Amino acid sequence: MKTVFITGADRGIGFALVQEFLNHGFRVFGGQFMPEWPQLAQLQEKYPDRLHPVLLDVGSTKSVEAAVRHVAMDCETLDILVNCAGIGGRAGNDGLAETINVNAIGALRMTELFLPLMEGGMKRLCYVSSEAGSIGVAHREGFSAYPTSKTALNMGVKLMFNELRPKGYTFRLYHPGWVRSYMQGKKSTMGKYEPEETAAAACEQFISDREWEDVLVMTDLKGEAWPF
Amino acid sequence: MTCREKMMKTVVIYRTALLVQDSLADWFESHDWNVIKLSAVEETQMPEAVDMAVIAVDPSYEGADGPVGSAHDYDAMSRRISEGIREACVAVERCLPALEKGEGKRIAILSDRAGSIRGCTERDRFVPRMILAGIHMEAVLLYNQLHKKGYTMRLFADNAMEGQMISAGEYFTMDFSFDPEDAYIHSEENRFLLRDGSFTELPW
Repeated sequence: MKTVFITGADRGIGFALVQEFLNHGFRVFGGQFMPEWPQLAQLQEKYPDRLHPVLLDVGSTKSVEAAVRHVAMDCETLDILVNCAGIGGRAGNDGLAETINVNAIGALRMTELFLPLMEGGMKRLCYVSSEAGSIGVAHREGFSAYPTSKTALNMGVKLMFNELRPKGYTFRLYHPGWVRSYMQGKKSTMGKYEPEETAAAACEQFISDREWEDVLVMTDLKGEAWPF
Repeated sequence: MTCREKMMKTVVIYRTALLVQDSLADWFESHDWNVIKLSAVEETQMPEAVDMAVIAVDPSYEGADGPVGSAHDYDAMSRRISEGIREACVAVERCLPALEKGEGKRIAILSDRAGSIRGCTERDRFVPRMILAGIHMEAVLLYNQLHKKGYTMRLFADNAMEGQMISAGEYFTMDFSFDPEDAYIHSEENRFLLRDGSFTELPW
């Protein structure tokens, strides 16, 4: 049975990804930032042997280290790591630092610390980014933390790709579309897609092999490419 | 202020890497610009009106920053990346009132090709590259806001060490067409680009 770790698994796209991977027969470790949020625990009742919530704050090195130890006690290898956790842009000096720490460095923190567990597995690294981080098609106005954090994430993923692709790792960089997500704290009524719609497309891309693994491209739920 | 100085255009060169700042200042002074050097840590007074603000980006990071799999101090990285991006934004914010009163209304950012994600073939130095890419995004967001208010912007990847066809100063002072009917290369006031010293448009 293949194993996947999904960050930001409490709700929204992350939770929908957990459901998708369970439906595809995976054993799922779900990074749980808000243990008080009931969905993940309810789903675990249905899949007690295959779903394992793990307390996780991707913005905290100690928390990620604890999550690595938790998973290592349960299994020898991790096949897929899905970096989905993210926050909406925060304002001000501290806000930019917090946004960068979670949305960009959080993915590096997770990847680097989980790498030893992935060595013997499928070696697939997946990152949920956004068109908001695409400089070439940026349409927003004025200084803003969220797009900048996603641009920084894309750069970080490119550097990891350059190092790890020759070592057999494959990468997915995904733009989920305009999703009715929980990014602002409660579920948005605005958006084009439900989390389940984009998670279904993402999961398909995350578990399928490509003939063009040697190039890093951000794809959306239709599989179309977005520029950096 | 002398009569000649009144006729001269004024450029503020803001911060950061002092050597770059000095060589840029020399270029502008030799081309009859009135040069004011500012930095985030100095209390030099901003002139009332300026024609151009040049922001020299500082992407430096002192910590260990090797390829993924080597040791990183994630908290220090986060702090420095946000600080590096924020410094550039603050510099622009400080210059905007004086630019508003000037005639040139040009913001020029001295960057580096290390901020190109598509063009990146390297494996290390996460922090400088993420700072530069982040500043490129912020610059585009700023362009989207200010372009329609009459501002023009330049973003230049300096590769002076390798030899360049044009220098940063030359590129920053060049004017281009606003006419969308012109050939694309000549109508680039209508879009925001990253160019290097061989006048090549670099990918984001």
